[in-house]
Amino acid sequence: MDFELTDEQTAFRATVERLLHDRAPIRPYVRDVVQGRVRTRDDLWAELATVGLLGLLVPTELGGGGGSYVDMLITLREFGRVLHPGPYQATGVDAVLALGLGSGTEARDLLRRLAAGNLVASLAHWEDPGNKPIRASAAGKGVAHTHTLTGRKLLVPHADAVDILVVTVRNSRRASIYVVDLPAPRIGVSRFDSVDQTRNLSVVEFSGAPARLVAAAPRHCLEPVVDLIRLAWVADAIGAAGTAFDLALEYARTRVQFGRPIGAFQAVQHLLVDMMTAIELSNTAALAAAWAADKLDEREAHRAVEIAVAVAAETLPSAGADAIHVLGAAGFCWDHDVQLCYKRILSMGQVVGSHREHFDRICELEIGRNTRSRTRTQAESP
Amino acid sequence: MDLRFPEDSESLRRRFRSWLRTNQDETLVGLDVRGDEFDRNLDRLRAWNVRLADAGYAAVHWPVEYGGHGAGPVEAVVVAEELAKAMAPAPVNSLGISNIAPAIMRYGTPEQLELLRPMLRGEVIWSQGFSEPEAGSDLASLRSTARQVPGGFIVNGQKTWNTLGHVADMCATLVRTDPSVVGHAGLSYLLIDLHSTGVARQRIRNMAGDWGFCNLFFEDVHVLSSALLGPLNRGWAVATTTLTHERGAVGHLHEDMRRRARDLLDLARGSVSNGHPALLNTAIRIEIGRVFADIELLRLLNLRAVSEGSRGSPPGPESSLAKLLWNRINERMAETAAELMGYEANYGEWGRRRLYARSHSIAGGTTEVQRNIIASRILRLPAVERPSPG
Repeated sequence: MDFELTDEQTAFRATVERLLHDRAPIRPYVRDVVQGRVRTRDDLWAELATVGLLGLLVPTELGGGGGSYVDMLITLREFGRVLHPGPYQATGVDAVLALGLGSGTEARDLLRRLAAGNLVASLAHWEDPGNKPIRASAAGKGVAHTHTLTGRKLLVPHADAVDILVVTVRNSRRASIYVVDLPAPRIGVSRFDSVDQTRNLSVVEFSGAPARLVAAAPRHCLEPVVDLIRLAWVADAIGAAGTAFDLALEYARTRVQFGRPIGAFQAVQHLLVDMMTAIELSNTAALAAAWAADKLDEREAHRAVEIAVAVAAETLPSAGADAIHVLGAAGFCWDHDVQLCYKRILSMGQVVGSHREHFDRICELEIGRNTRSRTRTQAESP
Repeated sequence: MDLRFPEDSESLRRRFRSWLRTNQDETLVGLDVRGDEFDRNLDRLRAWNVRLADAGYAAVHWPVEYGGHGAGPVEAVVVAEELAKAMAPAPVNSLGISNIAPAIMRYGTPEQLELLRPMLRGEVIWSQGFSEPEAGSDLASLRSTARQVPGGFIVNGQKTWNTLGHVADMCATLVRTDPSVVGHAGLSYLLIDLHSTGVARQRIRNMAGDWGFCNLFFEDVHVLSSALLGPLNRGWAVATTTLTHERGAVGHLHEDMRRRARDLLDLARGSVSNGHPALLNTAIRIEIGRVFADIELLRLLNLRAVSEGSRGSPPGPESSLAKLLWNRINERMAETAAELMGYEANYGEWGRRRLYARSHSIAGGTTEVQRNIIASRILRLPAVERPSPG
């Protein structure tokens, strides 16, 4: 029983932290990207590939690191910490996980190129439940390049800045993974004018866009991938909340009012304690969920992710809001980084869904569990 | 990182489980030890305690020479979990085992170490004499005194909220031995025989109607110098060592909570809300989901604490966070149950739990004190200015 990261993981985390701190700090890097002064795809990408971050989740035989989901979690926490504006998660996590459903040469080749840093990718997955689901039509006879996609995908990261889009298509029985090479005809990308300038998210409209089919599996096989993507967003938000908390804590220790640091006031102290509680509990649940995804069966892993997502989605936005509150009017200003952290956390909520929905699902899982265990107990008793 | 328990502790789990099947006292299953049930069943509880201790399960994490197995915190959690799952009572001195014994082990003379075995077997019942009428959250302002006399001390003062005080034989008592200083300095930790002349007890009835705790009065009680645990005037350090040794001791809490949460789910299954089955009411489902999520967090915090304990790292905020969570879970379960039960909300076991939910934000350090502890020890925030002592 050990809740600690391995020495290797601790060292790895420190490497990621140092790299991002040196090469992509909030100031000036993120600020410059936000203000459109710098493009997000730059020489940093090559470095991410060199240190093995792009191929972190790619199997070793395809040139990747064969990392675990705990590795994924601790990595994305660091990217969230510096509010990283580039397509790292889109490529190294979202696209890689979806392509991982395929075992054919096409999917394997793409994974190899993603790990090497030769290709920037993103995943188009979320859809508006009120719209007709996206559908694929075979234009030829199962040969590559002969499918077309029609429908709309939401919250697609970096859709206007990647080489390929990985697209999920579900029908009642199957989940299929398609790849669209960009630029492509009959695709419309409109970027969200989100309050969070550190995340590039778009609506992508497919109207008969050409696509290659790279993987197909029973529909339920996609669920663990979606769970892990939600967990990835949570990891990022834990990092962002950590930065917001650090800014508030530092301010509480140094800002003097009424002749003493405001951190000496119990009302402020308890606010900070509640923020720390939110972050600690979210982080603990997220680590346990990542570990469960690595080691336990799908049902246990799903339950652990639901809990991590529900807790983070409920508590991290308030932690970010409290950080702004501790910083007072300064925190409400465009020039303060704490507001960027808060916005980043809000993006997480937008993608992972309402905490109430997740608590509702946790209840649903317990109803199923409870019925099973009661049946077992009855069977055991004489 | 590995959240599974190692195979040897799982085999301990299986052994203990099968031991429980043959040795458990069926009449004590699910006994609520907070109320009159405790007094009515005390003899039986003590007999059960002896059986548990002699089989080596009362405190597996204790060193062998004091009656334990010298096992680690993981094994302690495994045993606590199984005890809770079987709804079997913990040892009578559970507070003594988790809070008083570690101080005795660290500071005790050979003679004082002899006290451990009878504590473990429940032959001698212990209570903890910390709070006073004028010293609750501000424990260091306590007023009970011990005046040094040849061969010992003369103790005067009053302790309150003493759990088990009405039946206790011994009391781990924090008293002021140096009246020239204030605050944490000048306190001492005495192991007082409550059968001494000059000790009086008065039971206190709590709001649930149970005679759950006691006032203890000390009037010129003569205590031998051998009752002093640890250095004179350094009692605060002795008392706080005990408080940091609670890791692993809460291993049963999430199991207890999980069972109650399943009760709550059963209650919801049989309830109607707005003319529909309550489990179709999203608001109720969300509350139940929150309860189960919090219980899982409680389990994980416990694992984190145990993991730190096994590595010998200094304790983090886990125990304070667990306390805050525990309070939240109890309150939410009680209120949700009340909502489900409608006009029957104030009856029976759930009615009682609703009342006891009010104690969890107070007992063992209020939620505010828990937050203060995190603010000062973990966040290292500047000290809140204290009014100068009068």
